[in-house]
Amino acid sequence: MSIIEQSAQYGFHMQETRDHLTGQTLRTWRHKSGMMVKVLPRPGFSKRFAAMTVPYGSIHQSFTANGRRIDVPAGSAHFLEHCVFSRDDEGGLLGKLSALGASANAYTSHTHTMYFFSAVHNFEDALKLYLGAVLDPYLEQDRVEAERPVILAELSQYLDDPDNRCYMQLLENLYEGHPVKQDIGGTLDSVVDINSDHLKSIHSAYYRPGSLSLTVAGDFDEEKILADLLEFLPERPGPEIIAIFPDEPENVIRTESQLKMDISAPSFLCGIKDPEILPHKTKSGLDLVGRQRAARLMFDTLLSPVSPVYETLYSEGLINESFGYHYACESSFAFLAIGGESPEPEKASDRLIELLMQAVTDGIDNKMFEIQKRAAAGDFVRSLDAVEHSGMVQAQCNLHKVDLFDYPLLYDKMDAAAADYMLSFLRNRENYSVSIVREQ
Amino acid sequence: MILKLFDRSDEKLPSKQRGVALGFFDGVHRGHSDLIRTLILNCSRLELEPAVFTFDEHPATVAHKRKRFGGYINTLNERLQLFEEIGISEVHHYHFDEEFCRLAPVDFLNDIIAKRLDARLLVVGADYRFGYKGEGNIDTLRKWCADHNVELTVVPDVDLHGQRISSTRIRQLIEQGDMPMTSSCLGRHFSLRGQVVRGRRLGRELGFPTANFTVAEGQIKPSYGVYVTRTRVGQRTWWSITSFGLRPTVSEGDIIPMVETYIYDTKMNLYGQEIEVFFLEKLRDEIKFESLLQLSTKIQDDLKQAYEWHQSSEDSYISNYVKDIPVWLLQSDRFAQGSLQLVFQQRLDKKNASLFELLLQVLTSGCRRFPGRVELSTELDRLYGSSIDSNIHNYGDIQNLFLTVDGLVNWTDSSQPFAEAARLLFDILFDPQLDEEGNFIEAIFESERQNMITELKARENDRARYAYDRSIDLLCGDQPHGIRSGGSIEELNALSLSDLKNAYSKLLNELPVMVCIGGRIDSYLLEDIYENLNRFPSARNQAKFGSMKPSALVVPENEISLDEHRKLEQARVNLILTGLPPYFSHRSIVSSMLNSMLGGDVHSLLFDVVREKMGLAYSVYSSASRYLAAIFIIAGIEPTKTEDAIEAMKKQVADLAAGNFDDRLMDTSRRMLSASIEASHDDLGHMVSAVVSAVVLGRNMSRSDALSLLDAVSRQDIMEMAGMLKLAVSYRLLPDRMKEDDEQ
Repeated sequence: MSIIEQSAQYGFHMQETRDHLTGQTLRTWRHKSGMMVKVLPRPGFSKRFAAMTVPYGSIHQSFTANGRRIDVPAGSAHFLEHCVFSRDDEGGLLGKLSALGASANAYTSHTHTMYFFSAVHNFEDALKLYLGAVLDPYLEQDRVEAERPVILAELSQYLDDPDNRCYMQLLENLYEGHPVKQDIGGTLDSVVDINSDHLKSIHSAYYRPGSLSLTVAGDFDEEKILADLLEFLPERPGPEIIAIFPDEPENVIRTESQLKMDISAPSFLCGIKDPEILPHKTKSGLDLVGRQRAARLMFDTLLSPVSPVYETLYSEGLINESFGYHYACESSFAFLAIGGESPEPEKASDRLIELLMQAVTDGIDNKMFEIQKRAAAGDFVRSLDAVEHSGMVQAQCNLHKVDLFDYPLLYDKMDAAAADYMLSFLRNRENYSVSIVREQ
Repeated sequence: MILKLFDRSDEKLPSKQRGVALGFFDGVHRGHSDLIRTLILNCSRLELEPAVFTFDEHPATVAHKRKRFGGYINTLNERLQLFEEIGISEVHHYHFDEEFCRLAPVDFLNDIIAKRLDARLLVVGADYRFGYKGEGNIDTLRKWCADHNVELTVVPDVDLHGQRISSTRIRQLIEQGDMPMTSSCLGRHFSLRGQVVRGRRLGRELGFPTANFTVAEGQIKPSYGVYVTRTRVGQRTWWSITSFGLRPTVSEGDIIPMVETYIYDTKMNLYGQEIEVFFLEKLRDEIKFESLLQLSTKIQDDLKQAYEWHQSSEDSYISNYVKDIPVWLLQSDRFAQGSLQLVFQQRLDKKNASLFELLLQVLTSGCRRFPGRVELSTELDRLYGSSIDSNIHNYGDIQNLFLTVDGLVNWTDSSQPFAEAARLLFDILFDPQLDEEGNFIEAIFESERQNMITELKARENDRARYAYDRSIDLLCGDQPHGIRSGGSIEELNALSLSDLKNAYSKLLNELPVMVCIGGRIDSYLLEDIYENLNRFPSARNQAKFGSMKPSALVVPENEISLDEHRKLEQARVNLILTGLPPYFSHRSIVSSMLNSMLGGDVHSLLFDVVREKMGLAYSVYSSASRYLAAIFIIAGIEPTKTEDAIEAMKKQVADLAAGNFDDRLMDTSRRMLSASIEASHDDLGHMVSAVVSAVVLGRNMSRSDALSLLDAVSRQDIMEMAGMLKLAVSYRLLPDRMKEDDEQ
């Protein structure tokens, strides 16, 4: 009996896609419970990688489940991530995974929580152990109290980080009520408010097999992995969960702000709020991912070392190699953040805004845009050389129900005119705000 | 470096105090290499001239004639060359004759070691015996050294795959034809050299001409059979297949075995030339066939099998020397991209730290063909996102300057982005942006300098980085080992355009350099790389890459403690514990294991006890610094708990030394390290870097060798090494408010 036939018996349905650039394969297994498993076979490699994607992040502070509204304090997603890593005298979950030779980690973002590990041996055992912990963690109050000081220490560490402070100050400038403006870990006050009930509510709503997805990459027995999953999978999908966000204005809240710290080199961030994506104007799926990919090409054209903007700022001594940019684009918010270290942060940000607005007015350079498409396509193929990296990118794609192999197709379809249209938010000076961290 | 040779007939030696390694060193295997490197390192500490004392003939051939001696693994010349490659510049080689054989141990020490060589340091292996009938041993040496104020270092043996590495074991392995294990023990492939002679031209008639030679008299002979080999002809090394034996099918009655090598993918007339054949794996024993047709058919099979072996092997080797620059090749079909690293080396000092980093920044900002960052970056993006980077890694007091290029080997439009990007790298190096007078352009120089200054200032923004830098300062003092990447703002400000020009000239003309290229590399691409390397000046005056050795760090005799105060929320604590084995030692694997158990991972004592159980720190971990031979414990701690945390950290080290740890901790560390060794071939960039590291370390290690060393680490090893650790630096970065509280 073939793997497909056997797996059909288990309640899985399989779809296979092949990347035309590399010939690599991606298999998608869907279980009737709603759980999705993505498999990237990589024969000849030693490391095997798995990631569980939970579509719950720091911005999900209010949601309805079974018709009931639930509100949780800022930092709850991150707190829950910590609690999944149980503690006991045997080193807790991390200790048990390490004992199997698995190197495990997790992170919480604004929009999701990712649990991942890699292993050379005992991969299937580690996967069962980790998945079991994610789906059934110990979330009683004693566990919450034990974890709280560790999280508070983590937050106080961020307070010493000028880059993080500059970024958080920028988000405060850009957003009025959207929870994206809060640190993913929450605040010292909100963390104190988090209790066992909050975490259990989140877990029962979002940490269900039907909500999360699993990505595995490497050289392994695929059938065994699917069979092992069955013990965790219910017969039916769970109820729909709807996230609730406060209204958010299109304009920025403050155009600039400055913080003084005990530092030696000042830095700046210029943020541009994208009013095309807000809680009342959401995007999802290929629409959202297409915008993310197009934005990458646009901003690589406009801001990377190939751009006149970068060259001018660099040659004027206003930026150095720490200069970077990041377009955060998720279903309910989007903004561009640009900056880095600078000996003259005010001058650097003024000059950046001037040059950027001029560049946008002049329009996207078609030839450069096409070159950026080549670079992005090359990056995509190169990224498949790394088992962990390709697995992680696919795990992030799962959130938007797209495949890693959709990327080259998305790039192929893009043209400069469509991308240029997306740039309209950069043309409005009112969308701009600047955050500076200076020495005292 | 020129090797100076002395024998018994040299009446007067240069007057200098020496450190001397004693032994025959046949094969110059891994254990010998550890021993000789220990000599060099200790000599750098004691300011002595490192020298090897050895014999031309193996004592067994004179003193124990009845004992079977299989033959020399190396000829004397090869042995001397290997000493030189390790970094020895003075060898004293004596005839081991009947007269010497009768020399009493103490006479040997008094007359030769003390009087003639003026030795202040002796370095020997654990089983070293000397003098008449081998009566002198380690105990004899210890006593004599103590009486004569001579330092003695006994270097432990290296065990691999369950047995001690020794020349005797290696001879047996060669005679058995076990080439993979021979390579493991030697740390390189076994080879035979010879001058090609005219054979019967039978191979040519059968369609596969071979280069033939006989083995030097007295040299070890591999078991008869057919081997996968590589063959060096002049500067280049080729894939080959070799038959070694008596050729019973065609030369019945021959008693002199012959090396017969067929070289793939090239046609050369090799008669009269010296070639070197590296034995990689034995395919089969020598067989007497019934007919030439049978022989020919079997050879066709052998040729195919050996070729497939070569194609699938990811074993790195020097494929060519271009202007004496070694080009390492790492073939792998598993990756879409190719990777090339060009590495220069020099001794680190404060000025060089700033000057050469600035030089690399200026060079990578453009070239004559693509002047400016925009043009250069655009071209790299056009090459499907290829990348060219420069960076500097300091290994102790050695500065390694890396220029790297990565890119896709092929694209669907038949272009070869990696090859083009590699060409671009050579343009950056050989054809930079210069003004009409051949100077670097001042505006670029100034811009890059200012950017580096901003970057150096920004290092202090990162509290963890700042604390790390400060603790390194305390450990290293004025020694170059502590110089940061990029140097200092003062040094940068003092640099001029002419400094840069001189540095560039030094880079091209003097600094030792090596190249490593990895991925799906075809012969056209390889030829292209060779051609580009020919752009280096012809009159390069470079030492061999890797011959420059990091010198020993002199650690403070007493613990240094320092508290500093800044405006911050979370305190930082850094402890530095010295006492790890030297960077090249095979016992480094014990350091890795010890570090993993102490704080290298989430199952470690520091994480589990100090963070999870005691709740004293949010972040706490340790890392082992190979070149500083030290373990760093690094932690972010709630300011009022630093003293408790430091006590707890020290206790974890003490517990390891006392054996107060359970086997699970050790098993888990072994498993985690084992996984990381096994997965080390999953990343091409990592594989290429590992080749460079191996050359710098002088220690080539396959994954199975590394796993074998790891498996052998015992509980006792961990306890002993933890017991050797000594707290050298204790540094705390505390919030200002605590200082104010103290003052009040």
